[in-house]
Amino acid sequence: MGSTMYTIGIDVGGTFTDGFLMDELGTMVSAKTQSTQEDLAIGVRECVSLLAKQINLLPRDLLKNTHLFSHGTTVVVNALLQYRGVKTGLITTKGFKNHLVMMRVGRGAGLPESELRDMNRVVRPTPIVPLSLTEEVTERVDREGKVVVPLDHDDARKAIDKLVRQQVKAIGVSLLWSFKNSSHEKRVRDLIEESHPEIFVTTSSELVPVSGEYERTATTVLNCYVSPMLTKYLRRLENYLRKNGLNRDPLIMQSLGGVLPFSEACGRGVSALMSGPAGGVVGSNYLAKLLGYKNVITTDMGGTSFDVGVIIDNAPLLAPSAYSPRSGPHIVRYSLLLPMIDITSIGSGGGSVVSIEDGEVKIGPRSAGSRPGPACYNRGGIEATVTDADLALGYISSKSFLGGMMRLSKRKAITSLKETIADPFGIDVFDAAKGIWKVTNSQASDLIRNVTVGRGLDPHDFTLFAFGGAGPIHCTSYGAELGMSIIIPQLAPQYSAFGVAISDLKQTFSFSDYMRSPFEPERIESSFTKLEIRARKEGRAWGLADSEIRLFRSIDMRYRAQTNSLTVPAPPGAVTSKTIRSILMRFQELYESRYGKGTAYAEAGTELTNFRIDVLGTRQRPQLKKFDVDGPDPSRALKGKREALVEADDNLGMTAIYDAKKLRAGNIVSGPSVIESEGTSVVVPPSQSLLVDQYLNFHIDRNGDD
Amino acid sequence: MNRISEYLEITDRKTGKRDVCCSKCGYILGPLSKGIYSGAVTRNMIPNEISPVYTKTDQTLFRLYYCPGCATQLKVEPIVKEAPRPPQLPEIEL
Amino acid sequence: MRENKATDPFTYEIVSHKLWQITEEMALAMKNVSGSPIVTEANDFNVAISLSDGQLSTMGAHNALVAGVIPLLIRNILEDYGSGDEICKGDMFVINDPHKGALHQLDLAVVAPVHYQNELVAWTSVIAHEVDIGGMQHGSPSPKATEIFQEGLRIPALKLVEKGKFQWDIFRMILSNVRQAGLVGLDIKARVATNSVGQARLYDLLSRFGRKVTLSVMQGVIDRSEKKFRERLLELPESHVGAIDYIDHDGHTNKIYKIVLKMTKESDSLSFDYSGTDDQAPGHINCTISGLITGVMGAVFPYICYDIPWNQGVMKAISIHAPEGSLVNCKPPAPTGWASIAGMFAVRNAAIQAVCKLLGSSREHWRQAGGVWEGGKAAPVIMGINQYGERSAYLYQSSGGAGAMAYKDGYDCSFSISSTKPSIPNIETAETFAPALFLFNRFRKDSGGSGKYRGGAALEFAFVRYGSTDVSVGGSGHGAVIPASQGIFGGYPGGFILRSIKRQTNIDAILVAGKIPQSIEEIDGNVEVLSAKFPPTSLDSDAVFYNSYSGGGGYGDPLDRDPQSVLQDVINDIVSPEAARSIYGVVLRRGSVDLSGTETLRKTIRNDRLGV
Repeated sequence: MGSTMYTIGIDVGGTFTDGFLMDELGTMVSAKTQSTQEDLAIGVRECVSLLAKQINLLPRDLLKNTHLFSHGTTVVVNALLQYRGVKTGLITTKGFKNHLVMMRVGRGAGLPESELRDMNRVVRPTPIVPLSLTEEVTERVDREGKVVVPLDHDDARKAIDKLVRQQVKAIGVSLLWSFKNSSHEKRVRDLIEESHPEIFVTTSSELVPVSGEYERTATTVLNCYVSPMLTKYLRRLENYLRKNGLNRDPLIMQSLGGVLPFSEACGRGVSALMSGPAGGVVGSNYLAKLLGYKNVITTDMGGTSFDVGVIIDNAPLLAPSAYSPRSGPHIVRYSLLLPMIDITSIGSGGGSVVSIEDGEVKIGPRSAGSRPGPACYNRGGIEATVTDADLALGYISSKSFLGGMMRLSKRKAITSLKETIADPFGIDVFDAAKGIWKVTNSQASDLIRNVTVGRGLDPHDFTLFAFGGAGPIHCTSYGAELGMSIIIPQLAPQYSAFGVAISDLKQTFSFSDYMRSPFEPERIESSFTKLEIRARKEGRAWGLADSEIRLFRSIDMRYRAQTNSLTVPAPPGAVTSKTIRSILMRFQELYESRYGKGTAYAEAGTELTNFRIDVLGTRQRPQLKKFDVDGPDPSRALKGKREALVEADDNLGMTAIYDAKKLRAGNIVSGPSVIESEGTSVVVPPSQSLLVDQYLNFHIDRNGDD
Repeated sequence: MNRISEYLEITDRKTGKRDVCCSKCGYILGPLSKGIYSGAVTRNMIPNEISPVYTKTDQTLFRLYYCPGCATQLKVEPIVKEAPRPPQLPEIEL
Repeated sequence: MRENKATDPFTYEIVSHKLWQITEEMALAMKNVSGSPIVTEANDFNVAISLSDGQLSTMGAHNALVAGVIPLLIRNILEDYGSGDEICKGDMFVINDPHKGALHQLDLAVVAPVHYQNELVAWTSVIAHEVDIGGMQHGSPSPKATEIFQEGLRIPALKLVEKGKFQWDIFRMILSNVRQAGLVGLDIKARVATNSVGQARLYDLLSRFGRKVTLSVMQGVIDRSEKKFRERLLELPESHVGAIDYIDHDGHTNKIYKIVLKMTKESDSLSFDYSGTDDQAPGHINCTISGLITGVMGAVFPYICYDIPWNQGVMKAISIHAPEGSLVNCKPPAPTGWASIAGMFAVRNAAIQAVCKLLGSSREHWRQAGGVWEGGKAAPVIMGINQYGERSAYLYQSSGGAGAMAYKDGYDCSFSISSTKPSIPNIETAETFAPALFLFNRFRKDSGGSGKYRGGAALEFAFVRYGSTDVSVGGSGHGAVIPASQGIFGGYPGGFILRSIKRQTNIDAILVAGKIPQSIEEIDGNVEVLSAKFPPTSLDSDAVFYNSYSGGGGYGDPLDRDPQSVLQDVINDIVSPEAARSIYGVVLRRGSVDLSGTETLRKTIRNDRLGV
């Protein structure tokens, strides 16, 4: 009590809401509660209560003494996936009414491999803005920003009236080449605000002044679609928090991997799409920096999916970027232009249903969810899931799962495996469970390969972080194939909440200004200046002093006649011809290191496409608590022994079982062992050992010794 | 069901042998052996007169086939004067 | 369920998934090194893994057309190189000869044998469309070509890499015969890198799971596809089905060629006989046997094998025939420059018609029948001096529509059925690279073939030259005077392709007056409708160029279309009010359907049909 300052992170997921709290000394506690779909804010409040209880405080006293409150949420992505945004209209250039719905074809985009062959069945997703809510205005700007046809104000007014009569709550304005000349968009916005100030408006030139009218328009209308709902949600939550004692700006995680104050985030709802998953990657980066790792593959195996992110040089990989090609991230199969932490997923999590199709084993993508859940949850599920196989193999305990809050039925797990998998194949249950284990992990490691080797990255240069409920259980198996060293962080099942709590403030401003070599320094400088003004304004809105605002310049570059582009960092300070020379050299270096020696077709010249400034603000955060080394002997934590699969022997073997809560810094646990904790387990193979570090994270070195 | 197409099926209720009949109105178009459209009503039309998306040309006509019973359009066939359909080419022989 | 003793179902799943994974890594390697828009944006390439005799085992998910090509390429390599005696570990072959298995010279392949324990056990391949391969015109195919010798470099299988050593002399030879040598050279290196990745990963797989298991799974995926496909064929009626497709204009004359197909379904096999097809043409629309096979598979795969992995297994149950010297199985020196969008498309379109009629007669599978997709291309090439003062040629890719199905409308703006993940450029991209200003780009009204289910709409666009005074437009398409995308069971074909130039127009005055014309008709001037193939034609400052692709074929009688759907189409400007009345027989009053009026109108139309 008193003047202790707390840091809180709450991550609202589809099934569970996770909470994380850290005090000034770096002591951490966590909480988990069911997400309340009808009103996600209720789950948040419950989580705050649970956290407060764990440190013997009332929620009010906790919040009064909270210095940083950060929030990650799936509310935006859920609203999109369930089509629960507000009625949105679009105003666009005459003659191009269809470009949003056309999706530049958009047929295979965002579809899994199994669906690509059935071309005849593909339909477009329900449009965020149907044609009936799309109006055209007479106006035209060319690629240099010159006005070819001035904005027809009558047209504009008519368009606005038509949309208003259809009761839209939001209007997106996206005109061709508006990023070169935004005057027409601004004027349309003014006209809307004059007559209908209650309508939420986003202009593409203000949100994302980047080339590519389809993606820009999609990003703009998505923002309109979700922002009003996000605003309501955040306002309500902020109300509750402040009423209950919080006297700081609460922060929300953005897809970009940084937090923003609620007030700044309201109008940019589309930037909060990946708010949930971003937390895990941000948390991993923080830990990576602390422990001295530059390159990390983050793997989050939860109930429904296996999500992989990449961190290079302590910077989370974003899409679109050189490593995540030009089509950018997809949501409801629309392509977006806002950079987001690039997470690749497959439907292969703990609750994924194992089935047989045409004589072939399939893991997921269907999930048993939490109701009925895996067969072992004893809630009526009869289909075998990955968790049922894990239980049958001895990797999780029926008694201590979820801290004893829930008892699992090994019998039900075995029955489901027998009836749905073992019998049809004419094999025994153990072989079925083993097969499921192997297939799941093989596909997980294939995905990791895809995400690294497929991008010209070598998995051996990376350390694997594993979290989520099932990540720690499976990681030594899927990591083994790639020969990677593994780290399982403390509080792995609630890791996203941790990431949200310790995140920096971050925003990015981009601007398209296509230039060909030879380049004019003044023109480049002027593009950056435009961005810098906006960036500083943002930093001040965060409550930062000018000296605290950190700006980072970068330029998207490519060789002419090629499409592989790279984001090249530009030094601070005014751009001179010397700066340009060094940027070009840096570009060549980066290009060849990314795409291979000799791949740069430089003879045709170089092009600059987009200019970007990232703004970063760091808040004071306590350090993670560091514990004194206790010694290598883990026997205090030994709970007992049981039979479990020893994968290297392809058979069951006696396995030592440890209680994670009783392990101390410096302890070394050798395999074959299983370390059980509240929300998960860690499987340690024979001839490998696990080291507990001074922050109580677990390390498994690929060479098998520490 | 002895389906031939969206609108045609095989029946033997009238002659005891395999006939083509309209699955909408039951009209018997004729024996299957003669070809599934042998009993249809046909009409040649200039494509551009059907819709301007068929650019004016005198090289192609559309031949339209209808069920004599209910006038359902059974087939639209391009007729190209300089590239006539070989007479022995079946439509579909089941 | 067949029990394969060598592989339990879990190992099978793991290995077959890893084979797929290898093709993914190969494709990414190709995209990374190449950087060419054809590869990275248009996805106009593919990769594959084959057995030692060339049978296609696993193919990538990009351009679906390589199935007909890869086994032929490998068989030709084996023949030319002493049935494998002269093929060594570390070799890689470059090949683009249409008479040795390639589709046309622009599709350059690099094929590499995989050796394990001194035995040739498999092949990896990559084929990609090149930006130029030499010949009489920039971009290689030319409507003026009369012989294959004029269409660019023709490479039978040559060892580009021999026992691990890159053969620079062959590389230099190729590059000295092509335009944009820098880009082509990079693409060739990309293909080498792609195969290196494939070989290394296959080697890992063979080492990890053993030769026996790996090869047995590679054979297993083929066997499974063959089994599933034959089972499905047994569910279809025994029949003979006929179909015809057309190609207008061979580059020299606006002659119309017919492609005639007689397809036979007997027991668990399917045969395609193209005997009635016209003889090969003097212009670049012909294809060789590779185009013939590829075209047939381009229909069979998506319509019958939509849930069966595409590989040799399916091809084993199919036999294909066309006499040598036919337009679809041409003999040298017939030009084949645009085989990939002319001859091969016609083979595919005819096959789609026949396959769909077969499916339409099936009790179990009738839902899989549909109209033809975007039967012909219509992309304009904008050339001359661009807005940066450089000589350039920009191919502007747009899109037609997909065929309607027995249960749904065709996908609007679908691109070709043979591409799995296509995308067309943004207008802002086109205006960055070409000296043009677009007046509109949208769904063309009424272009989707009318029917109970409507074919997908095609796109139409118009532009004026902008930023340069030396601009011409050329194009090689098909379906200007014949329907390229036929409908089925009473559905109409998709709209024809249309290209035109309107000259001596008042476009400047219109723009200055603050208006943007939304149709060619709104502009004064003289229209010249262009033929399917037209040579580069210059655009004056007051000329307006218009272009439309072919919509998808419709399904069923338009009078059977749900009037609410017609209303929605009219609201969305995809069907005109005139067509709603005259073709669909739907009466709309004040924005909603007049049911009784519609009933009456439809009755009238039916009477009119029968001449009553």
